[in-house]
Amino acid sequence: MYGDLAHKLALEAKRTQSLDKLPLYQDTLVRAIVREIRDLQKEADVLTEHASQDDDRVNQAQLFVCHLCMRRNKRCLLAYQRLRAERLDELVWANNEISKEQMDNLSPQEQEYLKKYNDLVSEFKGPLEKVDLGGTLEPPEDVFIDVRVLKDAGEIQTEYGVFNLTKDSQFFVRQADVERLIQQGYLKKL
Amino acid sequence: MNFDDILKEFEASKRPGYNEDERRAEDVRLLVDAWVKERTVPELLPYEQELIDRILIRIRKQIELIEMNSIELQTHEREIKLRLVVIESELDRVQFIIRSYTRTRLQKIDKYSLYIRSNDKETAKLSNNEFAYMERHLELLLELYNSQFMKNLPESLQAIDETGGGVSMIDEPDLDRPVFVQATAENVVEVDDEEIELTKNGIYVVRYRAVKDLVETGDVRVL
Repeated sequence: MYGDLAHKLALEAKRTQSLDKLPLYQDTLVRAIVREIRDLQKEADVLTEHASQDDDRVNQAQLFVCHLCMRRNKRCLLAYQRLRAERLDELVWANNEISKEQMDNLSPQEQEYLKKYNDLVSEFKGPLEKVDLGGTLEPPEDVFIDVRVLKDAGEIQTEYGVFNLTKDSQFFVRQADVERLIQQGYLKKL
Repeated sequence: MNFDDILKEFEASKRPGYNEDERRAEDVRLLVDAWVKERTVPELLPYEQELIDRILIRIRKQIELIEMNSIELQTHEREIKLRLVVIESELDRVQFIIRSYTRTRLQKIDKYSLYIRSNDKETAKLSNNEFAYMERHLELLLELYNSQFMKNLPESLQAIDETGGGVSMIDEPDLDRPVFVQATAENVVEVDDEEIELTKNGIYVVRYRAVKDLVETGDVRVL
């Protein structure tokens, strides 16, 4: 009671910050916290009813603590969900395929959010397609770069000809042409 | 670029000989300026709609030029190769700056969306596209909060924009954050009842709030 559960959730959020992947959505914990808030609300309602005898300091203090706990619980819930939503946003912008295990860690609602946010971002990118908003945020240095192939990726067609990307081979290619493949981990910049 | 350069440019722009090339180069300078500003100041700045539009049109032309010429490359016309590489490097850079500029703005919009929405002056700084994005993203977030837990909370706790109770739920840009600036004109600013003299070309670290208006007029440059 009184915020212990929310504390656990806050710790979970803190742990999430240092992880590469989003951990499993804490469904039971979230539900328990919501239940606690509703119990506190009931208690607060009862206390408000009995507060009619004026100047009951004990009653007032109790009521105050109830409200504080409810608000704190709500803040923890929101902070937890906001953190996860921000991580989902990052996933969308990174534009990589999202692994099955990552998907399994999301709640159904989060999966829905992910899908809709993805649509929103594509919509936003539309008018600015020529600058490839999803591209790297590292300043460009050279137009052509050396890359090594880490995984077989088949043939790619560029304006300077066709490359056959077999594992461990090395190429001198235009960075813009292979940007996606680097992001996806097929190629490594040398 | 210092103040004299700006003046020179201004003079030049009035001469009839002021040509398309110079205007293009100036646009790139303006873009870099807008990008640096957006990245350094804590608040959202007005969107440079016209500038971005002009540059986007030129980017499209450059891409067409490169595509046309690289087709010719395959038919053994290799002299233009160097020229193409130069054009492409520059193109990459400009694209990067616009990308970084837009993404920086989106970050601020996501962070301060409730604040921006509550304030007409702030909302006016967004492009149409950005505004649509902000509204929709908020809507999606609310949907998520509601479906996950919010709808099961007591009604009195369902708001997400309360400011009472000691903690405001609306995040506002921190205007007291320090920024590095260079003065391009003499000015006096006030910080905590203390007057600070800015001499031309001097470099200072001050709270953004103190020089906010001067950044707008261009009397100081953020670094």
